[in-house]
Amino acid sequence: MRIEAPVISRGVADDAATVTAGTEPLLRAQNVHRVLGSGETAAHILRGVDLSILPGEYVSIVGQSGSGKSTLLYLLGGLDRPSQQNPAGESFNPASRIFIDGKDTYELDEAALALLRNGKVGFVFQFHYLLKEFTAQENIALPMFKLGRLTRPAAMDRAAGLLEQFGLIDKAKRRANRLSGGEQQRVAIARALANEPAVLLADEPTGNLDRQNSERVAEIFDGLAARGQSIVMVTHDLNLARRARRMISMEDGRIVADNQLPARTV
Amino acid sequence: MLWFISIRYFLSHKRQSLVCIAGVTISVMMFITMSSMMSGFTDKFIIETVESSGHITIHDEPRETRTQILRQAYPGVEGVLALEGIKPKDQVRKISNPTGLLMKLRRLPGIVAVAPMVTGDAIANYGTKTVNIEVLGVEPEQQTAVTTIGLKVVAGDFKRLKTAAQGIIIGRGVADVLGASLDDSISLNSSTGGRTIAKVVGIFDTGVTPIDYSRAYMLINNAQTLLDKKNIVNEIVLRTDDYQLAKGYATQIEDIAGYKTESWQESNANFLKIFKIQQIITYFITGALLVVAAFGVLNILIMAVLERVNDIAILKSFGLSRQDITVIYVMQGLVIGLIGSTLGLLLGKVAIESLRRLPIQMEGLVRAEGLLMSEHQSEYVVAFVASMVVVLLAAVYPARRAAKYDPVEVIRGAH
Repeated sequence: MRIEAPVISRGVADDAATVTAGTEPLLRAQNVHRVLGSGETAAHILRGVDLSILPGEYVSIVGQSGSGKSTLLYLLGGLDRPSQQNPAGESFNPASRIFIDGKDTYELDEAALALLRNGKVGFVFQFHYLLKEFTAQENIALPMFKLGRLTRPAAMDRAAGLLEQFGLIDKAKRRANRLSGGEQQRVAIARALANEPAVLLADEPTGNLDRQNSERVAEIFDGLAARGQSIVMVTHDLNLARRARRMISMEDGRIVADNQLPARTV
Repeated sequence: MLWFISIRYFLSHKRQSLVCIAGVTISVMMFITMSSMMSGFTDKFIIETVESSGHITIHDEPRETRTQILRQAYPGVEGVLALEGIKPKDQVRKISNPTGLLMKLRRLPGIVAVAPMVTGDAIANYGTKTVNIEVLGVEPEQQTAVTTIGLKVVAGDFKRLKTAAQGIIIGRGVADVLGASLDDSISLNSSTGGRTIAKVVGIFDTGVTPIDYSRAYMLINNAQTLLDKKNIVNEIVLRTDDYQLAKGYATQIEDIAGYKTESWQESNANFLKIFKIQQIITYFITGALLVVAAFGVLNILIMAVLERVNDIAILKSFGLSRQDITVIYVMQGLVIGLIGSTLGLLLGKVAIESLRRLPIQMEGLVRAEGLLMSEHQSEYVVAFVASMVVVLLAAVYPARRAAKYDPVEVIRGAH
């Protein structure tokens, strides 16, 4: 069964796959460093990454394990904060910063950053991390409840709409833990899209799925990208990575390649 | 939204939640029941003591021991001045001009009634039985106005003191010890050598053992003769419009009367201290129960947090702040506290009513048929507020711990 990517309604043109030159970046990394731990045991995971993601871009980040790609993704989504000093205690120059939709995450407190994530970013992880006490529909509606842009019934209706687009409407009232692995991951994607985020950040979204379900997820991403959804995806799967329009390669905490890929017919 | 998540989490572990609620319920119920039992006992003692002995008593003595004349002449001189073998002058202790003082007292605001009294010790004999008693010589009409002793007469009538020659009204305990009944004649011997044969015209039962086992009422003239205190009034008893204010009134009256004036609180200070200690012990025990219940809540919420580390990470990833996560877990504590405390109050009320109906004969400092249970709204409020505070405090630690989880560490599998 082919799954339709959900219609997103941020006024992005249908042919938004074409990224307009000169547009303000949606996500920007400025000399981003990430140091975990301290002293002799400190691990310098990211070593001065500069990167801009424009609206409507479909970007894949590849690299070996430990290259820092997931760390970069979490930083880009405001789930983590860049380090401001190296293990020796010296400040980075220029300052290590992440900008989400023009906002410097360094200047935001924890609550403000959480609100920014809620409104602008949708995360999909390797594991679905659905809340098992809630139904599929409720899991999708939770971010909308938090954002408060829609009333509760409207949020539940939108959640049902997303489930329908992902071919899961018959599972709407089913508890999350009663769904198959592929279904759970699709619900997780729907949840990430619930608030119509500016950018969808996916960390190994097919890493825990069989081939058939991986292909379904890939098709969903293709469809979303075709409709102008900005996507940044971290993956080990080169076939999946090549479906993006831009592929970034990382090694030892640095970007070593950043290539535009030829457009793919969805 | 936070309520939605919190309630769903709460309901997902019904058994643990019920255990938590049961702990809070039991501790609140115990608090209410034990407090009620303590208050019932204390209230009975206070009410009966106050009502049968008066709110304020003026004694025939100054509050301070009179300073010796040489000490007055040489104040502060201790090293040079030595007073040895002082023999106080024999004085007849009495209240001077009691009639004038009584009139003055009646006019004071807040004073409802006053009654003169002569008191002294005597030995009562009936057959082979002997008992030490405190004889209170009273004017029956005035005495029944300042105290409720008239209503406590279970055999005979307080007014018969007036009509019967050498009538006496004795406590139920005194009657029991002597084996005397109504209209029996008992012999009385005072410490000053006075003797008389008195007819039992009434037996009273206040329910307060120390009173019922030691007190007897006679007409004031007869008591003055027996105690060799002709025309002497050595105590004046007063009734105020509010017995709780007796302490304040007593201080003012002492200034006016010039005699030691004791409120019922001062007269029963030792008992009140014991009651206070008992109350503290009660609060301590029930408080400990509440703390144990709170540890139960703490333990179960910590387990709930540890089980849902992934949920916390994902909730944070889609925009919940630390404060939101804290609120979710504190709300669970709030729900446990609200349900547990409310059930505790209801079950406490049921327990109080059940215990009140238990046919237990109590004989101690106070005597009663059945357990003495007294209810005060404030105890319900204290129990509810205390349990809510303790349970919420117990919920704060796991809630804060939950809020501190770093979603990135959780997603990376560090937790």
